Amino acid sequence: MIGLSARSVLVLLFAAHGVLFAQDQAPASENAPSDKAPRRILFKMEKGLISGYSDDEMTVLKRSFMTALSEVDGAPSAIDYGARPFPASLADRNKAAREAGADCWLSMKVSGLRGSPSINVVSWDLLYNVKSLDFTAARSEGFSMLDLFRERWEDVVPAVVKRYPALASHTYSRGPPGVVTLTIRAVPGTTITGLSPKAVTVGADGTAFFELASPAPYSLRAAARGYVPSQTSLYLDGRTEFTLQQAKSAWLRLDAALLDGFFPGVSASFSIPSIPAFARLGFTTFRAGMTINQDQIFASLPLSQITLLLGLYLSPEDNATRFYVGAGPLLRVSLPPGGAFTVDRLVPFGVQVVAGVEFPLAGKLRTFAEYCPTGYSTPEPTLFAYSFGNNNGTFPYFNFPPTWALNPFEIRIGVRWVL
Amino acid sequence: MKALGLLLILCLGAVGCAPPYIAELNSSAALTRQMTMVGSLGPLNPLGGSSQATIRFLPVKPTAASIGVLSIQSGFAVTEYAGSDYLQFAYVDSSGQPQLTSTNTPAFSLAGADPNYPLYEFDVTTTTATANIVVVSPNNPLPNSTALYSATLPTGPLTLFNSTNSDLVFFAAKVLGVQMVPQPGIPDLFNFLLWDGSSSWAEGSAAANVAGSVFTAGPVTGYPLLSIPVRRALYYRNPLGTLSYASYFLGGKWICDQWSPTTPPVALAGVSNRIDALLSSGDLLSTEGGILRLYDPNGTQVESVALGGLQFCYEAYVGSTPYVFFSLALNLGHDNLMFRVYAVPTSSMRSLGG
Repeated sequence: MIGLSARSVLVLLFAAHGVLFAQDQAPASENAPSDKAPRRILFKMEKGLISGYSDDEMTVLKRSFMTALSEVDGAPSAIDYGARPFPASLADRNKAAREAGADCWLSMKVSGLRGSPSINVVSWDLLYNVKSLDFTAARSEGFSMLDLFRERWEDVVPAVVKRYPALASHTYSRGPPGVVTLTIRAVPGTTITGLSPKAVTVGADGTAFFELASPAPYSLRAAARGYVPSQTSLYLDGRTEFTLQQAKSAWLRLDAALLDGFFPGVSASFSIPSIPAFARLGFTTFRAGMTINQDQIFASLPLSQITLLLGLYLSPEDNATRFYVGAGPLLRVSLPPGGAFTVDRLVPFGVQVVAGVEFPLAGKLRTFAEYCPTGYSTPEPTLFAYSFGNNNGTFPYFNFPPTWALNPFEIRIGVRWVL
Repeated sequence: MKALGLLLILCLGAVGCAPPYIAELNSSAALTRQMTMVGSLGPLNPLGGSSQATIRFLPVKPTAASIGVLSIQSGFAVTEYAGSDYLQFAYVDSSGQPQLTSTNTPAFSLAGADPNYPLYEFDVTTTTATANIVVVSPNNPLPNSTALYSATLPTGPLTLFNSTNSDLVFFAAKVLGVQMVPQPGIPDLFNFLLWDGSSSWAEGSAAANVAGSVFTAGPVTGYPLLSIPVRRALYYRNPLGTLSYASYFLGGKWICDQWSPTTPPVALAGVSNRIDALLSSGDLLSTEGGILRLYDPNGTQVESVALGGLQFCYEAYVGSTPYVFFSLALNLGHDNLMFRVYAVPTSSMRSLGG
C-alpha cells in the first residue's frame, strides 16, 4: 500500500507543488478522484550541538527512519533534504519544503552520547500552518554500535503518521482557479482580518462573506468586543461555510500571591469592557513573612495593605504570555494587639506602579510575576527613618524627605484564576 | 518555565523586607489623637534593649506656663531587665543627639518581689535646676528604703542625692504607701500611710525638699486604722484630706478601702482593680492590665478604655491646669526606642473612651 508507483509520485509531486503555491491559482477540481493520497514531508536529520555519532552513523540512522516510515500504510512520503544544512528560520524551512514539493517538513536532531542520545523532533504542517510536532525522544542503549542498526523509531514514526494522515486526492488536484464564497459565522461585530485586503466586520446577522480561491490554506484573525481574539487556520477545500469558535473574555481574575518576603495576599481583577484594561482590588497581610531587613528572619505584623490598581494589558488576550502595566493607591490598615482597627499612623497610604507578565499554567490557571515599586507617604518622617535602624531609610527604602519614601524592590508572584 | 519560577521565588526571598511598622503608634492611636504630644526623645537604646525589657519612661515635670509651649526633652527610663529595675536619665546633648546616662546606673533588685505590687515607686518631683526622682521601696521584702536621685538639667549626670533605710521622718513607723500630690507652683506634697509595726496605722504628709534631705518633717496627723489587713498598700488622700484610699491585694483580688477622718475604712464595691492615682478631680485612676479605668470618688466606674501601650506617668499642673501625663515607648526595632510624652487635661479624662 505504501509502495506508490513512480507515476503516482510524479503526479503527486506535481500536484502538491501546485497546491502549495496555489493561494492565487489553485481551484477545486470537479473531477477529483475519490481515493486518498499520502502527505509529502521534507525530512532532515542532523546532529545536535553535541553528538556522539559519526556522519556515516547518522546516514544509517536516517535511512532506518525513512525505511520505518515507508513501511506504514498511509504514512507521508519522506523527501530527504540531503546533507545540506537545514534552514534555521520557519519561513526558510517552509520555502524549502514548497520547493521540494512537500506540504510539511520534519526536522530531527540527534544529540548526546552514543549510549544515551536524545532526538528532538520538530515538524510543521504547511497546509494548516501549525507546528504539528515538537518533542524529544530519548534513548538509552547498552551497546550503541549494535543498537544503531536496530533502531525501529517506534515512538517517532507513529507520531508522524498520526499527525499526517493521507488526504483526499482532490486536495492535490490541479486545474483552473476556482472561487468559493465562504460564509463565516461569528459574533456580530467581530472584525476578521487575513482573508481580504481590508478587515471585514461581521454583520448583525452574524455572518460575513469572502470570495476565496479554493482549495487553499488560509489563516484569519478574529477580534470582537468581549471575546478572546483568536487566530484560526483553515484549509478551504470547497466548503462554503465556516463557524468561528469564539470564547468570551474573562471578566474576573482571582489572584493568590506572595509579596516580597512571602507575605500572602489575594486580589480580584475586574475587566473593563471595550478596552484591555482592568481594575484590581487587592489585600495583603503581613501577619507572616520572611525578611532580610529585620532582626529576625520571620516577621509577623498586625498590618495589612489594601490596594486599588488600574491596569492595562499590553498583549492580546489570546497570547500565551501577556504583559501588563498598572498603577494605583494603597491603604495600610492595622489591628494591633490591645488596640482598635485603624489606618496605620506611620504610613497611612502609598502609590504603587506595577509591571507584570503572566504565563499559562494549567486550564484556567495562569502564573504571574509583577514588579511593583511602591512609594510610601508618612506623616511621621522622623519615626519612619528611625524605623530602619542603622539603615536609616537607605535600603531597601529610599527616602524623599520630608514625607515620601520609595521601595524599588517589591516583587509579587502568584497564581491567577481566570474566570 | 520552572527555572524562571524558581528564579522569581529566589528574588522574592532576596528582596523580602518587612514593611515599616511601629505597633505602638497604632495601638495607642485611639487615645493619643485626643491628647497633646508634649515631648519626644529618641532613638535610644536603653539597658537590655527594646525587645527583652519592660520599659517605662517618666518625663521630667513640666515647667511651661501653657501646654502649647511645653516641650519635654528629658526624663527617666526605668528598665526592668534581668531581675532588677535600672534607672537611666535620658536627655538631648548639646549637639542635639538623644543620650542615656550610662555610668553609675542604679540597679534595684527585684528578688523576692510581690508580683502584685510595683516593688518600687518612682516619682518624679517638681523640676527646677535638677530633675529628681524619688525611689521608694516600702516594707517587705526589703527594709523601708527611700532614695532620691538627681540629674542636673539638661544633660545630667544622674547622681544619688540622698538615701536612707530609716523610716524617713516618721521614726517609729514604717511606710506602707506613698502618694505624691502635685501642687500648682509649689513643691509636691507627699502623703504617707504609716504602720507602727503592731496594730496602729496612721497618715502623714511631708513636702518634697531637695535641699538636704528627702523630706522635711511634717505633722503626723494619723489615727488608728485597725482594719487594713495588709502591710503594703497603695495610698491616696484627696487635697482637702476629707477622703483617703488604700488599694491592696488580698485574697487574689484588689480591694480599695475608703475612709474619712470620721468614718472607718469601707471597701468600695465597684473597684476591683489596682488604683494607681487619685486625680485632682477626685477620680481614682487604674491602669492595671493595660486598661485605663476611672472611678468616681465613691468607686463607681465612669470610664474604661484600652491604653494601647500608653503608660501613666503622673498628674501635674501646667500653669494652673492639671494635666495627666502618659508616655509611650515606640519600638523602632534594632533595639531602639523612641519615647513620646502625651498630656490630657484631667477634666477630659472621663471622655477619653469617646
